[in-house]
Amino acid sequence: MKKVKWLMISGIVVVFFSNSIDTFCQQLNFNDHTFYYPHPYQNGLMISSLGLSMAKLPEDVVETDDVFRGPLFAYQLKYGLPDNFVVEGGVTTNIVTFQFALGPKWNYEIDRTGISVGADIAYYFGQLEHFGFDTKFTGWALYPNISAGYRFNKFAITVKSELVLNFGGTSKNGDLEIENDLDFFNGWTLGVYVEQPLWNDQFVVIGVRSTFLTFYYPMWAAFSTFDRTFYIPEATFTFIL
Amino acid sequence: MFKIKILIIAGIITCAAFPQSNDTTYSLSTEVGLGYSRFFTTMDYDDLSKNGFSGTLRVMWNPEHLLSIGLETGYQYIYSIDVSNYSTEFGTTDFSASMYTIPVFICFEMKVAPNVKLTAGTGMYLLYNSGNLFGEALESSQISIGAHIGVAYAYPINNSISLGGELLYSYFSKLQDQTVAIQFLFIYDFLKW
Amino acid sequence: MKTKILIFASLLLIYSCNNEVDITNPVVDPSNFLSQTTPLPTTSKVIMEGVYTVTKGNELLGDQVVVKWTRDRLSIFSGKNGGYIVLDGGSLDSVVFFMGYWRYSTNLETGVASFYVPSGEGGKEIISGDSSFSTIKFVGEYGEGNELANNPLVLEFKRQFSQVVKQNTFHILAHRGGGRNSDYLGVSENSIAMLNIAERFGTTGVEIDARLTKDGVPFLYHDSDINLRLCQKSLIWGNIEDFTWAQISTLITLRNGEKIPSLREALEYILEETNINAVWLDTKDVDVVPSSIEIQQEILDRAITMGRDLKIAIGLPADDVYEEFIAQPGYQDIPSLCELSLDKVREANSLIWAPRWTLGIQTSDVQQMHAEGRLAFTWTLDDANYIEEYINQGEFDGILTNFPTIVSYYHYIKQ
Repeated sequence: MKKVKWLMISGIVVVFFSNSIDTFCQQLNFNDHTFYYPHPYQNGLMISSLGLSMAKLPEDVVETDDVFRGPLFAYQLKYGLPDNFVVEGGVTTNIVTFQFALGPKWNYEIDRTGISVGADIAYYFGQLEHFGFDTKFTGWALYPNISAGYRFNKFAITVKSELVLNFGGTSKNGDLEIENDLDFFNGWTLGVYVEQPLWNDQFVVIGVRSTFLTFYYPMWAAFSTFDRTFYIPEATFTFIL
Repeated sequence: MFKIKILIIAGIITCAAFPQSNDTTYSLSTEVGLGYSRFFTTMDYDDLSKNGFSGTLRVMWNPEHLLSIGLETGYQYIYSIDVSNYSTEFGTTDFSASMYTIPVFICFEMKVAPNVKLTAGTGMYLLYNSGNLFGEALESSQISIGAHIGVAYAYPINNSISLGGELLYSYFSKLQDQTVAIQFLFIYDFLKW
Repeated sequence: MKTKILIFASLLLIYSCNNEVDITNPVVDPSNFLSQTTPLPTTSKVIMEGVYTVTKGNELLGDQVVVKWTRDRLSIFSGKNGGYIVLDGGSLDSVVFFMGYWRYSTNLETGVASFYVPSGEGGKEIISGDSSFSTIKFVGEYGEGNELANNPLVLEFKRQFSQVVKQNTFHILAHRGGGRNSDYLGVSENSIAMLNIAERFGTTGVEIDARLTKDGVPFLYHDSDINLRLCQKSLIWGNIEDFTWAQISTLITLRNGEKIPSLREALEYILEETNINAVWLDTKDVDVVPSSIEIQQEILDRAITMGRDLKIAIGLPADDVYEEFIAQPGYQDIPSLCELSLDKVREANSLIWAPRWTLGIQTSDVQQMHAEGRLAFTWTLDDANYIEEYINQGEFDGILTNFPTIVSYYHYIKQ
């Protein structure tokens, strides 16, 4: 009888741990852990992300062929609202420049396919008072956007496109301040983002984005005067928090 | 007897809590690639040799899901040229030049099918250039940012070792040129938990 | 399968796009008509200079333009998109003919342009050198890209340059010898070919960049390494100063096919083949300072002998170069241009103080420099709105720019 009791205890222990691992794998919830994949969020659900992107800056502007010299850190937050809406906001910075963006999105999902449409409004400002600069720069941008995604078993892939529209803002050098003379239609972007767990339920995003712009705000200090569209590819790595 | 029972129970708990090697959650692996590399360029020199040795060394962290992340270095032959009686405005001279690179990369791998994974990485290529012209040595080095993508197939021989092959495309921003390498791949999981 | 396609497509997204530029070079004077004309004498050229109203062709040039002779070309500068026209010309019978091309500085739009000045609307007077005549009309056409010129262009003389413009020497300094590679002018920055055309953009002075080879030859080159921004692909890469002059000359070709010029070749060309009267010799490497000074002195002595008005200033952009310069014997008598503090300008006895434009107009500091008998330039200013403000509100004696055509426009319309 004692042997049977010990065997039963041992068996319970083994089963308990085994089931934990299986159950753990089944508990991964894409909808609560993905940031780019479009899907309705629970009302009141908040999800945030912290990422780093690196851009290949146009050589004609920065006068170097070193790519990926434009690191941008981004913290983003999404908050679920009723009726498939979500509000998204965030801050992006390369230390001398900050951009604050905020905007709504409407999401819709059928089976494993999701779409969203939205628009963000952003304010950016930059300041540099070293290396021969006594300069400030501000501006506004509007980013209408659309995303489409597909959720596989173990990862989700999303394609997102944005228009980039500029308006307002000024630049100031020393005591001289001038209104920005940027074209309203600045360009557009197209990005592909793959979201998947890296370990446990820690999701990460690996993304690549193609940007076609006349004015790329993180490069404001170059005071580019080229009146043509530049192709700026970016690579992104983001942790979903 | 009691001690033996405790030991047995402890052993069962240990085995259940830390699964057998074929149920391992995380591993660290070393990947060694050795093979052949071909340089693709728009430079137009008849005597330019574009074929050479390629080797990669990666240490990858493999969690329980599809994605792995790690660091990579290695060696890759780029080109060489050796010309006698090269005619110049300063006179005739023998001329030689060669280049190789050592990558320092962050690397991602993603399993896309059984034993098949895609690899992508970005980072720095250390470019080393040497040669001779007019009896003077040409020696210089510089850094180029770059990226690579590839596909690998590795068949597990046992719990720790896999063997296979990899096709790798590398792009060098400074040169605006690329190489394609085919490598034999040896993967060793040296730590699992 | 879907995954692979998506991933492949996304990689294509990065690598299929690039920033390569395709620029049309319009074919000017395909029938070689100007070979039948007689070149205009200098007295004729000055008569044509001034501010003109655009009565047709405003969509191209805006409402007014500046007409200015620049060595061997007639240049027209507009305030729209940094637009300019470069014309070659001559007279036939009593009509003056011009043929050339127009271009926007800030983008790549270009096309052919041609004019004639009718006999009864200034042509006869221009040819005879009669400066009392002030009703000059340029009648012409322009085309877009490689299209034939079929859009009307008419310019009517409005006024001469103001006394402010005529009496004050203002230096329009072109960056990198005339322009950058990224301006796609058809010639490479810091090359003899660029120095040859610089004046067509209204340039009165140039900035050039000096480095030193491994075997001690000073040469013109901006960046520290061999790269595809400046050069065509070659078999040597790395720090350009790791190579000898023979190696660089043999193996490196600049992006538009030219050879890298030595500093001596460049300054001799400026002295003998151009009317450029100011050279900002930017020192990119501390080791080139002694050689630069030696060549500077030699060329300045030759300029005096030739009766040529030419200033060459050794640029002091950084502290290490500055320290090397003031270690040279007799440095206070060596013309220099200092980008650093006013105290360092005084210590080096620099002829010119040159702060970065992003520090503002700095009127009080500029006035201090003037009070000490020094000049003040600013660099490198390209934004048209800021150029207008710096010219109208600032007191700088010169602007270093990648768009000398824009600086020329705002300078010459100043009243």
